[in-house]
Amino acid sequence: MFSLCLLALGCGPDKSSFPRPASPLTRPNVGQKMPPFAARDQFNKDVSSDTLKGANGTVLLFFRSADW
Amino acid sequence: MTAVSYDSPEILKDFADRHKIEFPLLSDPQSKIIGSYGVLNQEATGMTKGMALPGYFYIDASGIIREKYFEANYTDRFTANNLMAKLFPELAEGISQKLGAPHLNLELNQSDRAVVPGSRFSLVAQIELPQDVHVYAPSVRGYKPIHLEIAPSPGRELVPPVYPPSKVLYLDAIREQVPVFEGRFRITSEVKMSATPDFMKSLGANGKTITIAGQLHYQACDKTTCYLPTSIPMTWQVQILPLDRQRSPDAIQHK
Repeated sequence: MFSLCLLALGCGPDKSSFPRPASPLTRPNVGQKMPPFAARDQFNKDVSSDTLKGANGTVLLFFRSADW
Repeated sequence: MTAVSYDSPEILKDFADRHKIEFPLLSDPQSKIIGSYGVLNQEATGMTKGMALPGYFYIDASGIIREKYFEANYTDRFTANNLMAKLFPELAEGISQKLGAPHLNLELNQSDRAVVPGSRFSLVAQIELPQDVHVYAPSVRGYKPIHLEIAPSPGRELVPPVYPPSKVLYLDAIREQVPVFEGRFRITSEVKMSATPDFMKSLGANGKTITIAGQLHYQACDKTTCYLPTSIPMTWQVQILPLDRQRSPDAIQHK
């Protein structure tokens, strides 16, 4: 099963006092192609949007920080 | 699932080791990915500069964005399990228990065994009716509809249950069309745990386990008979863990 908590959506301290967005979210929107990306993960492995695609698609989760 | 933040790979490794996270946590220290998805928090300054707004995209196998969710309330956080159960109900393993109920098979699921304050998780009643048996949908008039009732309690907020689309059934005996559920379907009710300072203090150092009570009310009917209305009591147990306030080691943390 998946990890029991959802990072920015769960594990960190209460960040309600941290900066909030000044403006509504912009692109990309539903129906648009995902912007490609490449990055290094916690295992020091280089991954990309291509390597992360699965048969069921993928969930790309953005979270604030794993530090504070 | 893949998660992205502006943290370094070292911070992500430290966090993943502590929480036994195996799915990829991507390091985006220059906020390039965060920027390209339009989710950079423009107001962040100091050590928070570069961080993302929290939320998710669901991208299908052909690379098209099918869902986009970013929170209006920063303390209202979907758990990973709840998110996956919503997007891929057929893949969600969950935790289940079977209950005895007249005229139907009833199985209770929950997206999470353990959550933290502010988490939004789901409780599910999975129902299977025998062939030719139906229950009435909530939109019915003049009959007793199926209803999942979760008991309110301080420390949590209930989201109204979500029912599947109903079917319209023509009943010869009464010459009426009625909205019903047949076969196998699920009713999902989400719960948002409090994130107030008082609630978090009440958890102590080790958290606590809560029991959430509910009832499933329904009246099952077949082609010739409507049986007596029934209410099935049910409970779910969830462990509420304190928030993780531990930072990364000094040498690698954001300054």
